[in-house]
Amino acid sequence: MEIVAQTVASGVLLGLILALSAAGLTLIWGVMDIVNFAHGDFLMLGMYASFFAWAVLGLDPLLALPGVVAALGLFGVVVYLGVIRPVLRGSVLAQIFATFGLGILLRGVAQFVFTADYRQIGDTMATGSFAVGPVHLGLPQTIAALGALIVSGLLFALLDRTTVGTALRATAEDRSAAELMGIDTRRMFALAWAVGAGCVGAAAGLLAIYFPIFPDVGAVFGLLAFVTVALGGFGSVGGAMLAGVLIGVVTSVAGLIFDPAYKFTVAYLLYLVVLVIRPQGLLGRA
Amino acid sequence: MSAPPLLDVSGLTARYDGAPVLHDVAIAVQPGSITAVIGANGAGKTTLLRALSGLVRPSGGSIRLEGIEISGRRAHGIVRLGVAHVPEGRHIFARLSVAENLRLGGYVLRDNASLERSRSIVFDLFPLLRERAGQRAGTLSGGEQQMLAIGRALMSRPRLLLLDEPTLGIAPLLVARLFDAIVRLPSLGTAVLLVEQNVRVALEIASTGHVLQTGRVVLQGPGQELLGSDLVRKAYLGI
Repeated sequence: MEIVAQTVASGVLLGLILALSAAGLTLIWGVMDIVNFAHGDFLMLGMYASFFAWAVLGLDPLLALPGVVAALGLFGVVVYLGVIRPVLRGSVLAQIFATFGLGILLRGVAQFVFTADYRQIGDTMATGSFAVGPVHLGLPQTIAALGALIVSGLLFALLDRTTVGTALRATAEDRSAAELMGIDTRRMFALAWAVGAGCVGAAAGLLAIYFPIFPDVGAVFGLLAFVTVALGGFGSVGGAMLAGVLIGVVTSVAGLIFDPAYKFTVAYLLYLVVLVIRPQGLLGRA
Repeated sequence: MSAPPLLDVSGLTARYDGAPVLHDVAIAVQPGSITAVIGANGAGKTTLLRALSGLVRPSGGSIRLEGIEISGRRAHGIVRLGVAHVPEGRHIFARLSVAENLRLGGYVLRDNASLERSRSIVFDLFPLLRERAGQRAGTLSGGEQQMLAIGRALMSRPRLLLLDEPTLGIAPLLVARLFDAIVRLPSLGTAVLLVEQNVRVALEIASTGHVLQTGRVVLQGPGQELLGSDLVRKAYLGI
């Protein structure tokens, strides 16, 4: 029994980070109907940013977090202006290839510049573990999860409580009508990329506290983010949060029951089952 | 015609999917007036309004708002100049609350005091919107959604309101209430350019009317005069 509680707890901790990264992906999709296939590679870049802030500047990843979020947000805007806007008038296929190709490029460049070595941030502020009843939680994992929860809360507050967030949601629902309100929807697109990539940056910076960093690190997390978004319902930030935690728990428990090597298989299986029963995802609109 | 027109459209041409929809259209709207455009389906009425608000880029001609050329500007910039557009089919933000819809209607306003003023004007015109402020806009009835669409457009305190088929698919009881509100707009400083399939009511409240046929203005004049014209009586009133 204790091992189940332990497994569920660590699943929730990872799930919260997964949820935050998926929220960034679904926000961009919701506002402008574009799937960022380079999403996982954005995560990889954010983790390297954290690593070098630590290795070169000696900054603890928690202290570097605001900088990593800002850097990724800026990178998101640059990608929107340089890659996305030129292909907006093109076919859907052109849009898919643009972000897919960008992902391959980022991975290749990372391989070349950073080498394929595994990196790990050492001696961070958050080390050790603590016990809650029978469950032992790693402090780095717990702090990363709490951080993800806080950033997710900020994202919700931005979308729900501010005028600019309302304008983002309006742009997502009806672009022409938003224009008629005086909302510059192109600026909203850029903002969606800034906020979406910023969320990935936050997830990356938190994950980097304890997770190894390498050029392909985005592959698994990127794929999981897509499953999370689809499971939660495309465009639904709340759905992505729910699905992120769910997938975190499911993979963790699956690793316990079956061989850990198969734990992600169960997540994809869950996704396929939901797809058959409820194609719009858990909180998606049909 | 002593006062210069608020809106002065001349030689306007526009295409839709490459096919010409408007040919050399000329229309003027006087400040504080109601001007009607009538015509059959496909005559180009909706495209005309979309060209005026910047949703469609005109292929030629001129659109002047108090003498300033606005043709070719993007929609979000034209709103700031004082032109609000209530599109056909209302296009309210169904997933947002009534209050949030109204807030976005006042997106171009700079301070809370102006927002508050706009809200009180809109709530005075449509008291129902105050009662429904916290409700999701998608749960309103068709007529209520039309009130919200008009109220939302008025939040920016426009000098010119473009109204596209406000009574389409609305229950008759609410149609009367909508028109009661529309005739009050000039006294609030908002001139109205009204596109309407309800030809009789539209021409009754309009100081000037234009008849659009296959993208051309074929007849114009005072609303009452058009109501008595052979063309309008035969083609649109069926008498």
